[in-house]
Order: sequence, then C-alpha cells, then structure tokens
Amino acid sequence: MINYFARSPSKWKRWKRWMFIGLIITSMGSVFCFIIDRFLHQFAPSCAGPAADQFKLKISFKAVHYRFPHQVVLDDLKVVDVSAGPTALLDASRAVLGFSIPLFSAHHEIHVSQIMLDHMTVHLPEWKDYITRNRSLVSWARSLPQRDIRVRLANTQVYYDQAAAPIAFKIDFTFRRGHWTGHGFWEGKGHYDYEFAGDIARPGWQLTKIVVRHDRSFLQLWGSWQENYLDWKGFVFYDGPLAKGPLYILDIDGHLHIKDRDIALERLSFSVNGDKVQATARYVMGDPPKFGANITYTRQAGHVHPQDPLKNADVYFYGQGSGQGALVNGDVNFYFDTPLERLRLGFEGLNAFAINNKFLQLKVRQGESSLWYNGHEHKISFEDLWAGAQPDQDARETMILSARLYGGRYQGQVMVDTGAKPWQIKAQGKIEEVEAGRMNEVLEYFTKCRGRLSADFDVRAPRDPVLSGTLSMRDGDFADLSFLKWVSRTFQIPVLEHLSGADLFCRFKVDTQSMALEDLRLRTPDLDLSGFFRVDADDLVSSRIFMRFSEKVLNGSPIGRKIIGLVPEAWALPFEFRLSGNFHHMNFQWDDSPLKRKVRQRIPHFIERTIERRVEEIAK
Amino acid sequence: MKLFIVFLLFSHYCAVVPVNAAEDGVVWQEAVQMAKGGDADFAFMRFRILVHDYPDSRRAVDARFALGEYYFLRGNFAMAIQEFGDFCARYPKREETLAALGYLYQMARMQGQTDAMKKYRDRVIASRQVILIFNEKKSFQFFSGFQRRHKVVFYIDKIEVLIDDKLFCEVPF
Repeated sequence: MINYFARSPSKWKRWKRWMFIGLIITSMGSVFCFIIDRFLHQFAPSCAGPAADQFKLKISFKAVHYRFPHQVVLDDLKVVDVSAGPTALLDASRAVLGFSIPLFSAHHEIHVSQIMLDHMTVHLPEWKDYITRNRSLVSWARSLPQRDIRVRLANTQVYYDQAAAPIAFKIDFTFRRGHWTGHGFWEGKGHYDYEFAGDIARPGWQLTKIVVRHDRSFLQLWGSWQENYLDWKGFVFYDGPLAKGPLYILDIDGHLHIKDRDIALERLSFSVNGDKVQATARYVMGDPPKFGANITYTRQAGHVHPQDPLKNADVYFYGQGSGQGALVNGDVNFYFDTPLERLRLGFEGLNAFAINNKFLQLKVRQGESSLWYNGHEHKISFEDLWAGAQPDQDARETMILSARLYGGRYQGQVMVDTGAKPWQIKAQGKIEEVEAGRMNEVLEYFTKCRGRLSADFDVRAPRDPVLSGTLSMRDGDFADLSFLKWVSRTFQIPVLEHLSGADLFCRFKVDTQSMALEDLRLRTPDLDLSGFFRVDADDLVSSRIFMRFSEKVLNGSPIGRKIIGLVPEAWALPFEFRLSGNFHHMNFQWDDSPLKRKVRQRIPHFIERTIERRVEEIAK
Repeated sequence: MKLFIVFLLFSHYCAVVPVNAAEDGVVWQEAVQMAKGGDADFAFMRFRILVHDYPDSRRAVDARFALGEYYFLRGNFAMAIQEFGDFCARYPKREETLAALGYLYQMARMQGQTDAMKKYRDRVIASRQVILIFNEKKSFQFFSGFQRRHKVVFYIDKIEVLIDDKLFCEVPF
C-alpha cells in the first residue's frame, strides 16, 4: 500500500488541523442542534399557545425537530377549532417551517419564510364555520407584513363536502420582492393544472396571468385590482362533455367595483362561439342582502336557422334574500326566428329555495307569460304559482306546477329537455273553473264568451309547437259569434245573437298550421249545436255545424214558423251548415240535409230565389 | 240672341257626343269582328286603341280584359300578369275581376309560384262573401273581347272559371 501522507508530511499536518477544526465544528453543531431540538421540544407547544388561544384554535403535533440551519419540522400537526367538534380543521403528517436567516441576522426577527406541508387534510365546511365565527383571523392575516415567503402543499386532500370524496390538491406558491407566482393542480372528477403570477402594484395588484388546463380545455385570465376596482380580461377554450362541440369564450372583459358591502359588476361582456353576452349585476350585503342583474344574449345572424331558431334572449331580475332563499322580481325574454316570435315570462315575488340541496321549490306571487305568434300576443296571467323540481342527472328536468288562474286553478307539470337546442319544453296540465271572459288576453275569441271554463291540455314548444286538449264550459254566455249571428239574421232567430246558460265541450288543437275545435258540442235549452271548426295558418276556415232548435224557438221566428208550416217535424231535424273562406269574412251554406230537401220540395223556385236575394241583401 | 247661342251649343253637344260614342262602338265592333275572323293580332291593336283613345268608354273595361287575354293566349305571361294585375287594381268591384284573378292564379300555378297562388287565392276569397241557402252554387258569365264565354262559378269552398264551358281553373279555399 502506498502511503501518500508519509511522502508529504506537511500536507498531512494541514489535513489533521482541518479535520480537528471540522470535528470541533461538527461537535458544536450537533450540541447546538441538540439544544435547539430539546428547546423546541420543550417550549414549542407553549409558543403556539397565545396565538391559538386568541383564535380559539388548538395546535398540536407529535414531535418537533430542528433541521440545520433554519428549519423546524413538526410531525403529525393538527389544528382543531376548540369551540367546535373534534374534527381537525387541518392536519398534516409533516410540516416544515423555514425561517429567514438574513432577517434574523440583521434585525433579530424570527420570520417564517417557508411553509411546507405534506400529506395534509383540510375540511372546508369546518373552516367555513370557523371563519364565520372568528373573523379576527382574517383581519390578523391581512395585518401581517408582506414579506417574502414560499408555501408548498403536497399530497393535500381537501374535503369540500362531508359526504363527498376529497379533492387532491397541490400548490407551490412564492412571494418574492412584490412578485408572486404559483402553480399546482387539483384533482377531483378530473385533473386540473393551474398556474398564476402577479405583482403588488400599490395601492392594488396586477394579475399577470391565471391559467387553468384540463384535458383539451384551457382558461386564461389577467387583470388588476386598483382602489376597489377589479378589472379582468381573458378567454376560455372548452371541449368537454358539457358542450356539444368546442366552445370558444373569447373577449372576456369584466369590471367589478367593490365598496364596503356593495359589489357592482359594472360590465361583463364576452362572446360564446361568436354570440355576444353582456351582463351587469349588483349585490349589496346586508340583512337582507339585495341583488339584481341584467343579462343579454345576442346571437350572430348566421347561427340562427330553422333547427336552432333562438335569436336573442334577455334576463332582468332584482330581489333580496329571504329566509333560506330569495325573493325576486324579474323579466325573461326569448326571441325566435319562427312564427313563434317571442316568449316572455314576467314575475313578481319569486321565492326560490332548495330543500336538502335536492328539491328545488319555487313560488311566484304574481306573474304573466306571453307569447307572440304570427304578430299576435297571447298572454296568461297567474297568481300564487308554486313549482317544484328535482334536478336530474340526465338532460330532462321535470317541474310540477300549480297556480291561481283567472279566478280558477291550474295544475300541471312541465318537462324541459335541456339537451335539446334550444331547450324543448313539454307541458301537461289542467285548468278548473276559470273565468272565460278574462282569458281574452290568451285568445281574442274569449272576448265573446262568459262562463266557467275547465280544460286539460298538452303543450310542446318551441320546436314543432302544439297545444292540444279538451275544453268544457258550463253555464256560459256567448255573444257576437259571427256564425250564430248569420244564422240569427238569416232565419230571424234573435235568441241566437246572445246565448245564455250554454254548456260547451270540445277538443282543441293549435299548431303552426292550424287551429281546430273538434267534437264541438254547445247546448242550451233552445239549441243543440255540434260539429267541428278549423282555421288554418292563412285564416282559412273549414267547418260543418249541425243545429237543432227547440219548437219554441222556431215558433218565435217568422221564418221558423214558415218552416214548421212546411215541415211540421222541423224542430226534430238538424239544420246543417258549412262554413268556409276567410275567418273574418266567412262564406256560409245551408248544407244539403233532409230538412233542406223537405223545405225545397214544398216551395216554388222563385220563392227560393227571392229568399237568396234577401239573404244577400242582409249580408251586405 | 241668347237663346240662339244656347241652341247652337246644345246642337253642337248633341252632334259631338253621339259621334264619340259611336266611334268607340265602331272600334269595338271592328275588334270583335277581327277576333271572330281569327285576326287576333289586329283585334289586339283595336283593343289597344280603345284603351288609349277612349279610356272612359264602357268598352274600355272589356278591352283591357281582352289585352290580358291576348297576352295569355300568346303565352306572354309576364305581360298578361301585368295587364290582368292592372285590370284588378282598376276595377276591384267588377265581377270580371274574379275571372282576371282566375287567370292570374292559373298562371302562377303553371309557373309553380306558390306564394303568388296564395296571394291571388286570398284576393279571390276577400272579393266576395258567398252565402248559399238553397243553391249549391252561384255564377255569372260574360263574353270577352275575343268572344270567349267566361263563366265564374262560386261554391262555398272554391270558385271555378270556365271558358266556353271548359274548366279553365279552380281556386280552392
């Protein structure tokens, strides 16, 4: 073996000296570390004590170690809210606190410049309760001096709901000389990477970027916070299961003003695949809190087509908190490029709240729903609407409804297919004992009748819209019906000008092509009417009506008496009529029937012609 | 003297008016004779003279209808539509207007113009309210300038236009 030291005694001496110095330093360091370690072991719990007492927190750990030169390691750290249950607000298998050596050397200040937590568990509901009861912690955190710090949380589990699975979370945050950066991920139902960066720019801060990535989706925002004003801009690209195709949310431009307890979204605009969305909103914290918003959605003309005819939509609402929910007034409008031009829902005193976070309940003190179809407005006004819905996982939402409607009641259910574009609505319901005269705002035909109306109906809209059902009325009054008026004048039966005490039944169907009353039956003590009446989209009528008059009515009419004179059994035979032409200008014909044939057999032709001429004179 | 002047003016008026009335009648008769003789083009020229030189003559109405009819028979639908359209606008209350609308409807149908068909159908419907008590139909007829017998028949749900007893068009509603 070669002895290198033997050949260089002076070098060997130098090595010995250095080894000795090293041994001394190591021994002193070990002793120093041991003393610090023992000191921490003894006094660390009491160091945390005053702060913990102030914020009603119990901080505990299994062991504490000193790690040369400036770190303290806590094993099994637990932070518990002493005024609540035993569930820890936070626990970590290992917490490493690093102290700033320069600050300690220069100013003898002990400043935490590093916080690293590993295998940490955070319970957000408990934190929420705790912060609500101890707002001083927030004030204290705000009062801390803005010193350089780095915070790293690894293998963190965040419980945002006691029943739900936790979210895995990681962050590496650095604040250094007024500039802050961070990055990490969270992983719940999917994996999301994020990063952010910004600068302190007194009296506010600048957000250089906040970026979130998930599969093929991407979000980037940037902005600033200056003197109570938050401005942000950004864009989003989303290609995931919630959208049918790629979603480009571009040109995001927001401006928020926060002053005391007043939060005002003074401007928010963005485009969704080229369609413009604009919104303003306001929220005033108080008891009760008050809020309002105005949102408009304007689609590009090129996006509107028969399969997707929605042109614009706007929503306006304002209200205040009430109990567990909110009391809201508002107005919602949808505009379509179809014969159904517009749908409107106006409401006052809307109170919406959820039961067990599952069953959504909605009450409306007063409201009205209008639709504009081929230039005509049809309106339904209602009061005391109650609606209940249970949000479903699939794209079909069902809502149960009841309301007071024109002196009667409405009950039914509405199914909304949110998977369709635009949303497709199907509704079923029945109305009972509604005052028909007040329904003239629904259909102008109701201006001509009075009475209590009941109906069952099915509705489908806005694609292939159709309304169908059955309708009945008891003890109704009918006046100024053009057909009855014509019969009245032609056969001189004045009682038909105004029918009283009539019972009506019919099936009805209204769609884009036609409106039809089928199985029409109208009965009074003096009249028995049946038949059908159809009007198409061009206002063209197709109808057949069968009428039987009582003997009393026929004897009360000069022409009726003549007919009875010719055909004694006329009161038992129906008059059959056919109606055609324009709805506002109908053609009438006494249709071929046994009664007509018997009358014709008994009068000469010149009398027929005289009667025809006279009737034409009446019509003019 | 005054009486003499009044007499002169009256005699002049009596002399002038019958002459004008006779002139339009003569032109009409010439046109009809030419139409009967198969000279449709010369008849057309006479009908044009009637329309332009005697616009207030009662024969001018028939002559205008005949202009549209001439263009239709010659297959010049664009001019026929213009003439019949002008006829309907000038004489909305006349019964011949329904026959003119029948021509317009038929041309729209032959050209596959459904919107135009609908427009003329609606004008037919709006032109008259039909009330039928004992009869199933009502009708009127007239001879056009080209001596074709036009018959318009109203039913409760349609009108028919027949020319020389042959169905020319049916407008259902």
